[in-house]
Amino acid sequence: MKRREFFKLLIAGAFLTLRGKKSDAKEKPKVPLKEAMFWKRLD
Amino acid sequence: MAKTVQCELCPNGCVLEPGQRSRCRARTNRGGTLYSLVYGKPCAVHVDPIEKKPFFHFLPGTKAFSIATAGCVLSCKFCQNWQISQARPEDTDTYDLPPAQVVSNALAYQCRSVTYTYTEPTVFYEYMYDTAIIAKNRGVKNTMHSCGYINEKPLRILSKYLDAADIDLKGFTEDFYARICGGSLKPVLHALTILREEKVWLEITNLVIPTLNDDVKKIVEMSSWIVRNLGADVPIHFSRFFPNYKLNNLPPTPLETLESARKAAMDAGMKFVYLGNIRHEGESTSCPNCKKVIIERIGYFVKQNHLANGRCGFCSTAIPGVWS
Repeated sequence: MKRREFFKLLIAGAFLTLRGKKSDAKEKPKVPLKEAMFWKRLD
Repeated sequence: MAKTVQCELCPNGCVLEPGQRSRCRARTNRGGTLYSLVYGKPCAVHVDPIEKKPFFHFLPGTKAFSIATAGCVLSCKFCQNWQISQARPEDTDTYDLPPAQVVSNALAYQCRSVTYTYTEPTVFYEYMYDTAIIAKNRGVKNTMHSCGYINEKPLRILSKYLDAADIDLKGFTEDFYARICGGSLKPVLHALTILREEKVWLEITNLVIPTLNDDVKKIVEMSSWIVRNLGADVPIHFSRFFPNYKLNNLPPTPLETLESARKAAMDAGMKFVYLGNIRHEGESTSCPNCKKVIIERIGYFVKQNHLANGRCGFCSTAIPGVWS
């Protein structure tokens, strides 16, 4: 394989990897902050 | 409107101004409302043998889907999981795992139970409670390994969904709880009696630490209290201590100390006394009547099981526990 083609593949691989990770992060379910049970306000 | 709040989950009873964090690190006051910072965000998720919890009289040989979040209501100097129990949630790597997904994963991994463990489940009470309801509805059992430092009301409410609890009875003096754990013994004893009243299957773990809680007289006192207040059928696990966290200056518990503790508890009337963190015949279950080994264990693994429909396979004596 020529050097130029090798670098093209390397860059394409890196691009796809980073893109893949980004889309995974978007799909992660977000769990909202939950109000606690068993507490009271103090006057 | 007043914006100071008091957490009523555990005996610490943290009083928090807006922006302040509870002692367990898992709850905060935001604008006069108390929030859980760990709901659906476990920092530890594993499939373990149920024997690791340890439960020896609860579905032996099955897998437990085990979760924990950061934080603890106590600060034991010997903590084996201090990297997560004494950490703030934001300082741990977490998963986004809502309650329904915990149960789905438990079923996918063929786990008979979900176990709330590793740190202190009380700090992720809301997460545990919601998960427990879904698990029960889908036929998955709920167990927890806890220090038992929780107030009566939340414990009773949780108990409706709990199938089993392993409670760490860390010592039997107020001085030990105050100096070594930053807590108090009395609420733990109360929690044990509540769990028994609520008919949650109960096992007890006592980590035997050289020079700190290995006095045989105290072990006799503790065992007698258990027999009187909880019953002789409650299994107890004497675990071997290994140097860790702030107690690196102490040696591992000698085998003789563990054997003395076991003998003392049996002499006090306890029927099922086990040794943990060490390879020993005390890992196996023997029939209190015919004395034959019914469940032979090596570490966390069941080698042989001679139990038939909850009875000794040799003499048919009923063995207390949850077996199916």
